[in-house]
Amino acid sequence: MKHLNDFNEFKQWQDGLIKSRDPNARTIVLCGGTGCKATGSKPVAEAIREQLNSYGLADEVALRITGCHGFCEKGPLMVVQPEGVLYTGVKPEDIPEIIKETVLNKKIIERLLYIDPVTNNKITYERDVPFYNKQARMIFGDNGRIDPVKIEDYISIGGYQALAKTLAENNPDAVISMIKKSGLRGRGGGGFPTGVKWESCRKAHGNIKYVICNADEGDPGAYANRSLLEGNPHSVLEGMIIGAFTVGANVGYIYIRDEYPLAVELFINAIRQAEQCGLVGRNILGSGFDFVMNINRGGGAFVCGESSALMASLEGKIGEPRAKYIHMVERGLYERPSCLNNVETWANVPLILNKGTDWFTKIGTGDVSQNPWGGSKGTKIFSLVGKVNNTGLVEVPMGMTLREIVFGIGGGIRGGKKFKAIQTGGPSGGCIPEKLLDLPVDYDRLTQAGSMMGSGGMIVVDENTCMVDIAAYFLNFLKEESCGKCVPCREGIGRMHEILANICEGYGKDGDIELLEELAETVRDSSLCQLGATSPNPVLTTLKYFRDEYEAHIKNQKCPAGVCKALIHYKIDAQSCKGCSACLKSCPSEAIAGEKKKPHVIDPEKCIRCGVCIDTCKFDSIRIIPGRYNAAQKLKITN
Amino acid sequence: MINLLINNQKVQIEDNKTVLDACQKAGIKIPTLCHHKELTGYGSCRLCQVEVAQKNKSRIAVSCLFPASEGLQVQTHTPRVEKNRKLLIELLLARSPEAKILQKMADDYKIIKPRFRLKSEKCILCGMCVRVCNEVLGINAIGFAGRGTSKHIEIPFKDVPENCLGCGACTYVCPTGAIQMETEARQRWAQYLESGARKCRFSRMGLIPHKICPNAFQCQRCEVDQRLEDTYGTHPAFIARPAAEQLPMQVDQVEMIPDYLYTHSHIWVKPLGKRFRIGIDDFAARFIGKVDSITPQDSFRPDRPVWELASGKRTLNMYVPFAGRTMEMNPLVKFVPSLAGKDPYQQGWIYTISAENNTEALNALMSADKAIQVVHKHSDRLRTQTDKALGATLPDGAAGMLGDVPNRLTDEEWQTLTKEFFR
Amino acid sequence: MESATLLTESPELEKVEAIIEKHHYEESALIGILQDVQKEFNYLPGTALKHIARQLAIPLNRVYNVATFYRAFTLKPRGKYTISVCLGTACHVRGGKKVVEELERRLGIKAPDTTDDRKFTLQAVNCLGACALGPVMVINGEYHSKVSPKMVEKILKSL
Repeated sequence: MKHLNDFNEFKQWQDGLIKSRDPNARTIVLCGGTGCKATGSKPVAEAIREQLNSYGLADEVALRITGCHGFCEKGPLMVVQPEGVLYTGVKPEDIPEIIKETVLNKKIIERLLYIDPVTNNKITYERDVPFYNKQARMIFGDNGRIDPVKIEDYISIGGYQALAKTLAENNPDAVISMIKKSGLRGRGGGGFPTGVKWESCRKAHGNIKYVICNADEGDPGAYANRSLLEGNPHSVLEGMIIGAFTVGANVGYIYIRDEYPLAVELFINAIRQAEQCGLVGRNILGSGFDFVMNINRGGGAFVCGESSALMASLEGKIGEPRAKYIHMVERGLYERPSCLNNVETWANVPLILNKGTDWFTKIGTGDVSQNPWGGSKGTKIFSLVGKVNNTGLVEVPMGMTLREIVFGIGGGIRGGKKFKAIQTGGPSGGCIPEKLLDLPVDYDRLTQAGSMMGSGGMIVVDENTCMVDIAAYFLNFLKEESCGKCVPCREGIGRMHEILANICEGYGKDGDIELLEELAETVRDSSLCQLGATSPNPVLTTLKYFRDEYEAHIKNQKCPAGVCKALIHYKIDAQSCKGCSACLKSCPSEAIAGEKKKPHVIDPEKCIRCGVCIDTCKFDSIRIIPGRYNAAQKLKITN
Repeated sequence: MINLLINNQKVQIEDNKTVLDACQKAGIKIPTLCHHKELTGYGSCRLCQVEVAQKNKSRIAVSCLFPASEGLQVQTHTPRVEKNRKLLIELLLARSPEAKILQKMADDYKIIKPRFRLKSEKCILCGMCVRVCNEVLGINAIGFAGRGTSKHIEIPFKDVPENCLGCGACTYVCPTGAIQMETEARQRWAQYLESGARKCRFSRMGLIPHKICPNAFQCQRCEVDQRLEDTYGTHPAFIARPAAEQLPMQVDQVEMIPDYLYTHSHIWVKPLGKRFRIGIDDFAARFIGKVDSITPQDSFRPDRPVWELASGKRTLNMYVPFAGRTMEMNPLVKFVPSLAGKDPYQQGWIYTISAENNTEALNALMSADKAIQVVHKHSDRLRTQTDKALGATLPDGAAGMLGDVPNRLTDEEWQTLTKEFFR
Repeated sequence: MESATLLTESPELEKVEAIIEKHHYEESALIGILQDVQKEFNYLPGTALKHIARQLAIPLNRVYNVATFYRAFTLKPRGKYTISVCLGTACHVRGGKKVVEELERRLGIKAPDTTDDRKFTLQAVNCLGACALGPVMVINGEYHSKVSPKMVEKILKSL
C-alpha cells in the first residue's frame, strides 16, 4: 500500500486495481458477517482454504470472505463466482464436494440450493432468488463484491473516487447543493434533509467543527448499520471525509455500539488503511485538507442514539440529552458546530456524488426539486425479521409497499400463519396493521400511520403475537433505557408500563385505556428529547389498530393471541396425543400426568406455561387456549 | 434588549435571557421545581413549559431553557400546558406523596389523589443539590447514579464524602427536604477530618479567616454561623462561589487555565501520573496564528527545543526548562496540526513527556498566577509593537487586539519578538 | 505536587494505570477506560474507579455516575460465563423471554444476577444485532442462534 500524494497518483493506483480485477475469475465468496459467523462460517472458511491447498488451487481459485449479504436466515451463505451459484446453510463437510463438483466441474449440488418457501422450487443462482432480485441493493450490494479488510477491493469498485474528485474540485458549496438536490434524508430515523444540515453546519460560526457518525444502532430488531460497517466500512468513512471537507471539519468521530466488536475492529482497520494511503490524515491527496478520525465504543445505553446524548457520551459523560433549542450544527460536541449523521446516510454520500442527483432522485417518492422535505429518495435498508419466512437485511427503494416487502421479499409468514402487524421504527415507532399493508414505505407515510422510519427495523408479527404484550415489551424497554432526567419520560413511561403490565397479568380495569391515552399525550408533549416524545407510539398505534385486544384482556380476561400467561391455559388435545410421555418428562413443574400410550392431561393449577412441553411434543398436541382455565376464577384486584 | 409578547402583553428583557426570566420579570407565575436563579438551567421537571409561537408554528417549550428572542409570542397557561402540568404534578406526587411542595401544587391543580400506586421517594431528582455542589462549590461531593427509573442521588459508594465541605448548600436548595445534614453523618465526617482541618465551613469557603470549629459541626447551634448566614440573607455558598476559581481566566483576551502549570515561554504543562502533558498556551497560539506543521523531537533539554511549529514560512522553536523525553504525540494534532493553536488546552495538546527528574521539572514550572503576569507583560509588549505597526494607538482593551497578530507584524518584527517571548 | 507522584502500590492498580496511559489520560476517554478496566477484571473494582478519578483529575462522582449509567458496566464481580440472552424485538416475538425463564429456572438466579459459585452471570440484553437468527444467546462472546427452552440444558452442559 503506497502513500498517495495527489489526485493523479490516486487515479493511477485505482486504474491498476480495476484492471487487475478479473470479473471472470473463479472465486468462492463466503459471507463472514456476524449472522453467518454465528451459524458457523468460520470453520467453513478453514475447510475451503485447506481443500484449495490440497488441490493445489490456492492460486487459481480465490476465496473472498465478505461482510453480510443480508440473507442471514439461511447462513452460512456461499456464492461460487463467476456463475453466481448460491449455496445456503453450508457446512465444512460439504466443502470437498463443492470444490470438486461446482468449482472444478461447474456442476450444481442440488441439496445445497435454496428452496423458495412460496413455490417450493430450488433456485440455483443468487440473482434469481426473490429475496434478492426484488431488492435495489445500491448500498448493500457491494458487500458481496469486496473483502471489507482490503481497501484495494473498495477502490477497485470505484471507492474513494468521489472523495478524490471532491478534493480536486475544491467546491464545498457544489457538494452541498448536490446533496440537497438529491433529497437525501437522515437514515437514522428522523429524516432530516442531509444537505440542509450540512449547509447549516458549514455556515455555523466556529473555527473547530466536527463530523460524527452515529453507529449506536440501539433499536431492538435493527442491525443494518452493523452489517454495513462490517461489510463495507470504507463507504461510510469516505462519506464522512467528504462531509468533513464540505462542512469545514478536520476531526471526525464514530460512535459504535460495544455489542458490535467486529464492526469496531473492521472500522479501525479501515481507518488505518486509509491513513497509510493518505486518504485520512495530513494534506489528503495534496489538497491541503487535514482529517483525523476517532473511534468511540458505546457504553450500552439506547438513549445515546439521540444526538445530544451521543455527543455527551463522546465527551466521556453520561448520555443525557439536552434541550436542542440551539441546534447541534451550531453547538454540539464540546459546544462546537457538529454534523451528525447515521451510518447509512454517510454511505449514501459517495454513491450520490458518483452517480449524480438525477439518477438518485429517480428512485423513491415525492418531489424534492423545490423542497427537500418533499419526498423520500433513494433506498433504505431494513432488517426484516420476526415471523417472516425470509429474515435478513433488505434494501428497497423508498415507496415500495409493505406488502411487497413482507410477501414479495420476505416470502410471507412462517408456518402458514396469518399476518397480524408489522412493527417499524423500533421503540419510537408503531405497529402497522394488515389493512395498511399497501402503504408505500417512506418517511412521511410511516409517520402519518403513527409509526416512523427509525433506523430500519421491520418486525413482522403473526396471529400468535399479543399486541398488548408488544406494547408492554416496548414500554419496558423504554423504561429501562430512559436516562431518567426528565419527569414525563422517567415517571410517565414507568407508569404506562405499570398499567400495561397489569393488563397483561389480568389486573386491567376500566379507565386504564383512557389513562394510557392521557399519559401518552403528556409524555409526547413534555419530554425533553425525541426518545421520550416518541415513546408513546407503540401504545398509541396498538390502541388505534388493536383496541379490541386490550378490551379482551381487560373485560374478558382473555389473551386472544395466547401469549399473556395469566390469561391463557394449556390443554392437551386428546385426539392427537399419542401418550409418548415426552412432555411429562420435560415439564419442570410436574404438571403433566398420564399413562404411557394414553392421552396425557395438564393440571392447570401446577402449569407455569413455560412452553417446554410445546417444544418437546412431536405431535403438536399441546394447545394454548385463550382465557383463564376456569372462567369462574375471578382475580382479586390487589391494586 | 429583546421584546417579546407574553400572554399578549409586551415584555422587554436583556439579551441572553430565557423565557422564564422574561415571565418572572413580567410578574407571571410559572410553577417550577428544578430551577434556581443561581444555577444553570436543567429542564427536568418540565412544569415551566409554555407554548411558544414563531413563524406561525406553535410548540411546547420549557421556559427555563428556551432563549427569549425578538418577537417571540408566548402563552403561559393554555389548556394544553395546564393539562400537562397537572398530570406531571400527579406523577410526581405519586412518587413523593409526603413532599409539602408537591402537596401544595396538587392543591392548586385540584388533584385529590394520584391515580397511580404510591411510592415513598423523598427525592424528585431535580438535581439542584448536584448542580450547586458542582457549579457553585466546585466540590462534586454528591452526584447522580444509575439511570432511568433507578436513577438516584448518591455519594459515590455511599461513602463518607471525602471532599464535602459540609457547607449545607445542598440542603438549602433542596425543594423537598430529601437531603438533610444528618447529625450522625456530620459527626462521622468530623472524625474523618484530621483535627487540624476542623475548619469552620465559612473559612473553608474562604469567607472568613481561619477559624476552628468548636462545635463538632453542629452549625445550627453555632452563634457565629447563624449570625453570618443572617447577614448574607442567602446561603453563604452563593456569596463565596469557590467554583469560580476553577474557571478559565481571561488575561488581556488571552485564556489561561488555573489548574495548569506553565513555563516562562508559553508552554503549559499538566502532570498526569508519572508523566506530563504539554501544549502551547493561548498567547503562543495567537502569536503564531494557524499552525501548519509541528516537527516533533524525541528528546529535549533547556537548550534543545521540544518542538518546532511552522505557520506559512515562519517557524518557532519552543523550549521547556528541564530535560526529558517525548513519550507520545497527540494523534489528533499529528494529523491536524492546526488544532494545537485552535484548541490549545484541550484537544490541541501536543505530547505526553517524561522528565528526567520529576521534582526538578516541577520546580522549574510556575503556577497560573505567575504565568498570568508573564502573559500580561508580553501582551503589553506585543500591543506596543502591533500598534506601532498600525501607526495608531488603539484604546485599551479594544476588541481584536490580539487577533490576527501574525499579519500585523513584519517577518523581522516577528523574529525579534520570538526571541523575547519564547526563550 | 501530589498528583505527580503515582499511587500504584498494587499490581492491579498498575494495570489500571497502563490502561489510562493507553488512553492518553484523556478525560473524554473515560468510557473507553472503564470498558478496558472491566475487560481486565470482569467488573469495575471501587479502587480502580477512585484511581481513575485521581489520575484523570476529575471528580469521583463523575466516574461513579458513568460507571452506574451505562449497562456495559458492573460494580459487582461477574461469573466465569456471562450468558446474555437477547430480548430485542425480533427475539422477543420468537420467544426469547421463555429462554430467559428457562435459564433462570435452571441456574436458580434471576437476571441480571450471578450464581453463588461465580460460575454464571445471566443477563437479558436489548438486541445483540443478530435479529434474523433469534432467539439469540451469547456466552462469553460465542453466539448461539435460534435457541429454544429445550436447547438450554444441552448448551449449559457443554460449558
